[in-house]
Amino acid sequence: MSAAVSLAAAITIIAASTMSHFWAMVSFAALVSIALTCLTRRTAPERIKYAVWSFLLFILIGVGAAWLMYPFSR
Amino acid sequence: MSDPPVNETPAAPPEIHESLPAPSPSTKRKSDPVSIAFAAWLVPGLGHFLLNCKGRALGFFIAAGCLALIGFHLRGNIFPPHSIDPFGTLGFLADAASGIFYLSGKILERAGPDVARAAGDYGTRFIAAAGVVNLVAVFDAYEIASGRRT
Repeated sequence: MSAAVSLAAAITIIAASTMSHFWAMVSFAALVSIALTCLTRRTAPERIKYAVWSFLLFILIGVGAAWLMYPFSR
Repeated sequence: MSDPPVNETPAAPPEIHESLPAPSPSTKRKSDPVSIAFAAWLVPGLGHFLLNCKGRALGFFIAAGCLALIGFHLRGNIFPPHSIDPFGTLGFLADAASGIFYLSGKILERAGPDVARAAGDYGTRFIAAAGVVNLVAVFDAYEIASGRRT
């Protein structure tokens, strides 16, 4: 849990300092993944696996949706 | 048809006390679920902290707090309580669910909202997401205090 908190804090600082859209998406994915992981009733290794999967799916779906919308951006 | 013979000596009760698991800390809790839910709403993670789930409490506090702080930093819109727009009312409900972060939003976001930029619009979503995350935590804490979840 402390590693997840450190990761969230680092991502939050980066997102707040750069205000980049990409880092905003990454920080959103990381923080919501932590919250969803806290809801699960599993062992610690399974929770870490769940958090990583949730985070990666957030990023992949976000980037995928962005590329799908790219042809209609102009 | 003859009745079956009745056993006069009742069977000894099974000794279930040995097979029962040891009482977990959750079964020992005698917390009022409504009070726990109120505490969980007021400060994200406080409900779980009072229920001795400190890891989850820290996780919910970090998640909701960081979402709200990034939202304020991106100058997202904090919806007021009175709105004629139904979406504004929904936005208020989502924002207000973040508890102390909503109550202190006007102090933390001194520059005011700036939703003309995309970053400000993202900030609005971050603040609402903080409230929704805390709302989930409130329900979870209520369920644990009620004894329906562990």
